[in-house]
Amino acid sequence: MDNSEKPACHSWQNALILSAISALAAFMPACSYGDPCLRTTDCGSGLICSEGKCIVDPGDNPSDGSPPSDVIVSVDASTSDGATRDTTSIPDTSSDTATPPADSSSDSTSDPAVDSRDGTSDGDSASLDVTQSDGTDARAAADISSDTNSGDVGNAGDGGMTVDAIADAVDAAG
Amino acid sequence: MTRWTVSLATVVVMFFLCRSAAAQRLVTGGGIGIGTGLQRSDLIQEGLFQRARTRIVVPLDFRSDEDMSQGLGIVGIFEVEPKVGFGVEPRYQRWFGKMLSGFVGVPIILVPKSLVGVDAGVDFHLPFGKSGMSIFVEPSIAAMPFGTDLPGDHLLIWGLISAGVYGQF
Repeated sequence: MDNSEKPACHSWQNALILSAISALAAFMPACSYGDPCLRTTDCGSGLICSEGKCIVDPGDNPSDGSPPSDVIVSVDASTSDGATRDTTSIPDTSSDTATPPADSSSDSTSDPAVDSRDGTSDGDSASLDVTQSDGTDARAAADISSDTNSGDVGNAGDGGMTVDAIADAVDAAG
Repeated sequence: MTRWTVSLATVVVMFFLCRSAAAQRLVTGGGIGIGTGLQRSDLIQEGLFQRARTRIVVPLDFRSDEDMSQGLGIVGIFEVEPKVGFGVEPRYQRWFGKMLSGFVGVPIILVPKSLVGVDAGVDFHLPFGKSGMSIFVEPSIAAMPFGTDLPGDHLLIWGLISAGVYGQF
């Protein structure tokens, strides 16, 4: 037999061996899918690939999740000169309830607080302590004095209720 | 005058009596196979490699019968697992005999996001039967530096192996 003419069965055997090696590569135990990602499309919907890991997409509006309601909100406003005023106001329910970024807090109110949030008006010297109560201790909205735009209460830049409107709302709720 | 007439008549007769010359003929080969492999990026902090996506490859190559040692090819890439995708790879192939060839190409993943790079590899053709069919095994290595499918400024490296059936037609 000519050495260049190998029987056909030898080609089949070689083909099977190489195909088996190729198939084994698909089942290597050290390699698996999961959180690690090398391509952006490796992550599922709602996830993004960052630094080799699939993480939840933070989105554009980091909401605090608090539902809009007519709870009474106690606001402690302190200006940059350290003066503290106790105020109470009803939050603007028409907004997306996004709270101002947390910052330094001033004196707390005397109302029992279910939870508390600290907020500041953006770009001004006033700091606010916002405390949610269960609405039983209604307080009249007093004056809120700050260097910011008048009428902003807690939520920066979204046009909060005026002081008179807050007082009327508190009276109606009381 | 008689000389020119005879010469012209001779040329016309030769034109109609000669057989048409044989031009180049296109030799086409194609196949279908399945591939997988390993991938690596500097994003991986744990372990060395990840398993690359399983793909179905459909290679086509075109050669001239006057020069069967080289040709151009195009490969359809269908990623099927765990995520789907589609791409193509134009390549230049060089044959070193009937059973071995090498190639360099530009793999381009088109959807759902783009991924572009370069790759190189070899093809082993194991003939079976007398029909001209063969089984091909194709190990390759690719570097993918461009594309919207890359998270940030990172390079993706593939070490792939594909196998399937191939034939000329």
